[in-house]
Parts: sequence; structure tokens; C-alpha cells
Amino acid sequence: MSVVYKSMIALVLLFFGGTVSMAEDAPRPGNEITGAGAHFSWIVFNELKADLENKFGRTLKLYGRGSMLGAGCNAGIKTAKKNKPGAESFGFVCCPLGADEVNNEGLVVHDFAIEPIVILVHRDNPVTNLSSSQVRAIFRGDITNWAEVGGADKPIVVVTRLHCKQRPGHWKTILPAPALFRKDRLNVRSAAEMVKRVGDFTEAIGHTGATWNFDDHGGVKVITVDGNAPNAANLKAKSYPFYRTLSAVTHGTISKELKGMLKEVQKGPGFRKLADRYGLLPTH
Amino acid sequence: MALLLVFVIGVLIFSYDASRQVVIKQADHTIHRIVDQIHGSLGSELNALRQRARMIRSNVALSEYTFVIVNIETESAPLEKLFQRQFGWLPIDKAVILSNTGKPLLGTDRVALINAVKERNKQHGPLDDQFYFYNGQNLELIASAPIYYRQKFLGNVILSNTLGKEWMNRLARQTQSQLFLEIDGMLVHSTLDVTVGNRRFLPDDGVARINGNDYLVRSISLPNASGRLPTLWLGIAESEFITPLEAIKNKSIVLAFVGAIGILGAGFLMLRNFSTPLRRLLLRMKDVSEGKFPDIPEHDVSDEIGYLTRQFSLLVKNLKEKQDEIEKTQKLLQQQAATDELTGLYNRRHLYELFPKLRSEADRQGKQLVVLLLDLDYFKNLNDQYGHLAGDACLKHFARILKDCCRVSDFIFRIGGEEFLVLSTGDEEGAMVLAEKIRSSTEQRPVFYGLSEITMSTSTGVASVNNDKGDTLSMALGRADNALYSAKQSGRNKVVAWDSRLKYA
Repeated sequence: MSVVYKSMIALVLLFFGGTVSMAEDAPRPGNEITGAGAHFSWIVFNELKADLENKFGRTLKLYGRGSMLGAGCNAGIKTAKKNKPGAESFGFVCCPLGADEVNNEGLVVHDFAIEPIVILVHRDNPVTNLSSSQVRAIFRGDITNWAEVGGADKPIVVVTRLHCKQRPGHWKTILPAPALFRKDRLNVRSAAEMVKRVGDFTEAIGHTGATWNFDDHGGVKVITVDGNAPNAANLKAKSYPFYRTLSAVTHGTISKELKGMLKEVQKGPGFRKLADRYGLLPTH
Repeated sequence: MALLLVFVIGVLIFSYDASRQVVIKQADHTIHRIVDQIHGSLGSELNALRQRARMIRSNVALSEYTFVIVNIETESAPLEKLFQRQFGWLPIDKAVILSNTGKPLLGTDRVALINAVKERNKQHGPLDDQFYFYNGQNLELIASAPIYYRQKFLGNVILSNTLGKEWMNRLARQTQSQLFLEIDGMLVHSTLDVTVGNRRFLPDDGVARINGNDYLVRSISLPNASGRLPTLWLGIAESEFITPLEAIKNKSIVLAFVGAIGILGAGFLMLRNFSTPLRRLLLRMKDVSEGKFPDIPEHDVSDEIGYLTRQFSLLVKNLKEKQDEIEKTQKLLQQQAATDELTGLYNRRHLYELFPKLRSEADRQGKQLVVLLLDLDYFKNLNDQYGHLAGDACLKHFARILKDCCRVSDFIFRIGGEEFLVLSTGDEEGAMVLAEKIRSSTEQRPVFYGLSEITMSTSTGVASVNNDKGDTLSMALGRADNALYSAKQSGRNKVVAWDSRLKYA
């Protein structure tokens, strides 16, 4: 065999060898699992992402930061319903879904924690604790001055985010219906706005989930209710009155890897550590 | 030269004035165009500001904050935070938020503006509004929009963009002009580098004088003002458009001067090379037409004039030659007409022409004419004996004798074959002496013809011409002929003076 032929064969082998190597580096089609929805559930999955991917060999593409701007539970349900073979997806919700919604949409709810709803006031507000009845009275408009609850003589500015109005639980643990809230309140459309509003007004009071990422505290602080901090122990003891259930939702057939991931979040040791950090009470 | 210069400079001055008017008119058009552009620009800025005001008041968070602040009477600081966070990026110089009660929630320091908006709200109600405002230092563009929350009027968002010195400088650079802000005849701002404190600004007929320079100025109207406004003026320095014209003028003067010198030079050359030779040629032509043939100097220039002159010179030369020939011929003819061809003496015809003149001359001088009539004796025989050629020689010989004997003032004629006549001035006695001299000379001077010696004699009759005017040549000749006849009869070779006793012919 001449040198020329040998060289040509070598080149061909090199070419195909390189191609095979490149194909191994690229993600395989259908390997990704997309998850999106409410921030408060997303943050749990997002922090466990690396562990889950390593354990189950699937790549997770997670979208939840956007829920700060108003994409929330509804976006989670929509993402779950997009699930199909080769493009597996699931959603995050921060509110318990109603039985009708679950049945009609063909959803499966995978709850994993109960999250305290924290009461926020301005950082400069001297008030550090309110009773649950005072909180409710303030949100109702029965108490309109901080002096009435041991604060400065300033009118109270109520900030609310009355989302997922058709779903039970969450802010409804404060007051069960929007009409019961004070009329001259500030309504916000996202958790981010909530923090900003309360941070803007020294007289403000608002509410949000405990998994809110407090990297930027935005000039707010969390107060205790009835002398109890919003954490898992007080939730478990039922001494903290405001809470909601964090869940993942799926639709249709899901892979064993996703099933495993959901179970890992519900029961795995990684989640337990995370729950301690955010004051979440695991439901399993 | 001076006249030409005056004319050229006059034309230049007229052209300069006309150009100046055109340039000023053009500058006026330019200023109007720029003023229109600024109007358009201000209108656009005002509209943009109004859009921003509408956008701000439509923001839900802002409405809610305002609502909370107005309704719950909290501090207004959160509104400023929100405004900075949400609208801090907008190109707005100043923002004011005014509550429905007239309390400033934002921009509390803008008291005058707040009062102006309150006044306008009182007059027109809370409407979308835009107007010009003077804050005592600067002109401002103002846009105001009412804030509503749940159909309740909460207050106004008021936005302001300052038309300050920076704005004026930027506009001046863009439009390549100057801007002046004036109130009550005093300059408030100027894009010129001048102190404006107490400087008066009083344009006269569209021209303002600043720092010794004239500026064409036009005011920029600012409609929909709130309160008393200063006047914004746009100006262009006259020097900016006159200076180039001045430069052109100076160049034109130099060019005109050089041009005039050039024209003069060209005129001089034309005069020298064309007009002067032509004039000389015309004079020569006139001379020629008057029968003169002047000398025409050589013109060695090889142009049309030179060619014409040379041709004319040739023509004159030829004419002169012809004229000379004619004169010669005429003289010859005259001579031939008056003289006898054989002897060269005057002939009979000339005698009759000449006689009246001689007679008049003699009368004027108080002298007398005397006629000597001479005839060669036996001439027929001489002819017969020696031949006609010998006869001719005898006649010529006798003519010479006559010439030799007569004075210069005497006139000698051959009036017949061998018959001659002498007209002499003087008395009869003198004539007799002359006649005798002739007779004697003729007798003593023979003619040598061939081998022959021919002796001749002559008979002469002498008669005076009377001073009486009735005495004619014929009568005098008749008397002389009577005397000649007598001389012939008495034996020839004689001189006989007419005597009344002689038979009168």
C-alpha cells in the first residue's frame, strides 16, 4: 500500500474519530428536563439542581426568577402541561391547587414543603412583633397608625400581593378574601415589587414567602407574629399562623428520572438542609 | 484713464451695494428659516415632554403612591424614591408632583412653578397642559399631566426642561447663530462671550449692537406662556455674511483696477496698431481723393491694417505713376498743340490763345506790343533747288537765329511755311532794331546742308499793336503784313515798319 493511500485512510479515520468525539460532548436530544413557575418552589429545585443532575443523569433547565416579576403558579401549570416525549417539563407552584383544577387539568401535585408567609415592615420601623390579630386588623384597616401597636405615630401603609385568588391557602391565611383587605392599600404584582414598596414607605407593612431571596434586603425586615419567628418549628407547632404549601406539578407521563428527582426533593437529605435554612417544613 | 477708473469704481460700488442688499435679504431669510426650525424643535420638545408627563402619570405604582401619600397623609419621600427608580433615566431637568390639595409631593423647591400650575388648574381645571415658564433665571419648557386614581384627581405631574445657557449654546452651535434672552430691554443670557449683568439689549429695526458688532436679530415667539416671559432672540452677526462680501469687494477693486489698466493697455495697443494707422490711411485717402499722392510710409506689421496699408500704398504708387504719365502726355499734347513740330516755336493757334493775355499784361504795365512778321526770301526756290529736307534744315536754322536774337520776354511763332512772327514788348523803334538784327544774322549765318552752304535772307514787316481796344491781332497782323509786302516789293532782305501810308490790308 502506498504512502498516499495510508495517509488518506489516516485522514478519514481522524475525521470520523473527531465527529464521534464531538457527538459525545453535545447534549443528547431529550436529555433535558425543563422546569418553570413560582419563584418560591423554583428556588428549592434550583439550589439542588447540581445534585439532582448528577444523581439522575439528566440536565435541568429551570426558570423561576421571572416569577418575581409576576410569572408564578400559572406559569408553572402551563409549563407542566407542555410536557411531551422528548421535551419533558414540569412546573412550580407556591399555592395549593384546588381539587377541581387538579382534576380538570389532569395535573399531579407533588407537594414538598410548607412555607411560612413572613410579615415585612420597613427596616426603620421600631415594631418587631405583632400579634396575629393585630396583623389582621392592620390588613383589614382597623388599625391605621403604628402608634396603636407600639410604633411611631405614623399612618400605616398596607401593601398586598393578592395573587392566585381562586386557590386556597397562602395570603388567605391572613384574610380569606380580597374584599376584607383595607381599600386604600398598595397592590403589587410580584414579590420583588412587594419588597420595594415596603422598602420605600417607612410606614408600610407587607407579606411574602420565606424563601424569598434576601440577597438584597431592600430596606425591609421580617417581624415575629405572636412572638414566633416564621420557621419550620413554629409551623409544625402551629404557633405561626401564616403559611402556604410549596409543590411541583406534572402532567401526563413523566420519566423515572423526574420521578426520582421529585422524590429526592420531597425526602432527600439535600432538601432537608435547605428546608432548615429557609424555615420550610417538609411535608414528607 | 481717470474716467474709466471712476466708471469702474462706480460700477463696483453699485454692485457692492446691490450685493449687500441681496446678502442681507438672504441672511434675513436664513434667520427666519432658523427661527422656524427652532419653533419646530421647541414644539417637538414640548410634545415629547408632554408624552413623558402622560407616561409618568399613567404609571400605576406612581398613582398608588400618590394615592397613599395624599389619602393616608404619609411622608412623600417614597414617591421620590419611586420616581428615581422608575423614571430617573428620562431626560427631564426637573420634576414636580403636586397633590390635589396643592401640596408639593416632589420638587418642593419649585414654588413659583407650583403656583403657576395651581393658577392654571384654577383657570382651566386639571388638564394635560404645556407652556413656557420663566423662573427668574432661565426659560423652561413645562408639561403637566393630572394624576387620577380610581377616577379621583390626585394631583399633577409637572415636568420641566430648562432652556438655559447650555441649551442656548448647543442651539447656537447647531444653527451657527447667536441666541439672546432679553427681558425689559436687559440681556439675561447670551451665547456670546459677554457679561450680561447690566447690558442693555434694544434691537432697532431688527439690528442689535453688541460689543461694537451689529447683529441681525429676530424674536422667537413662545406661545402659551405662563406669567411674564423674557424674549428669546436669534441673531446672526452682520460681519459673518458681510465680511466675505468685503473680501470680495477688495478683490473686485484690485481686479477692476488691474482690469482697467489692462483695458487701457489694450486700448492703447488698439489705437497704436489699429486706430492710428487707420486714421492715417484715411487722411492719405482724403489726399488721394483731392488729387494728391502722399508718400505712404512702410507698414511692416503683418495684420489686416498692415495689409490694407500696403495695398493702398501700391494703389497710390500706381495712381501716381499713371498720373505722371497723364501729366507728361498732357504737357506734351499741350506743347504739341502750341508749338511747331519742326522748329519747336509756338504755332499760329497758340498765337491766338496767347495774344489776349499778352495784350492784357502789356496794358496793365502800360507797355506796347509790337509785331514782327518775318518771311524767308525765295524759300520756294530753295526747296526746289536743295530739296524739302534742306528746306526743313533752313527753317530750323532760322528758328535758332530768331531764338538767339530775341529776348527772353519775346514770343516767337511759326505761323506759316516760311513765315514767322515775333511778339515783343516795347516800342516800334526797338522792334526795328531787333528786326534788323535778325535780318543781318540770317544773311550772315548760312545753313550748311550736306556739302552745300545755303545763304538765306529774310524780309520783315514791323507793326505796333495799338493800345486802343478796338485794335485786334488780325488788324495788327494786317498792318505787319502790309509792311512785309512792302519789304518784299522793295527787293527783299529788308525791314519795313508799317506806315499809315502803306496800303492797309
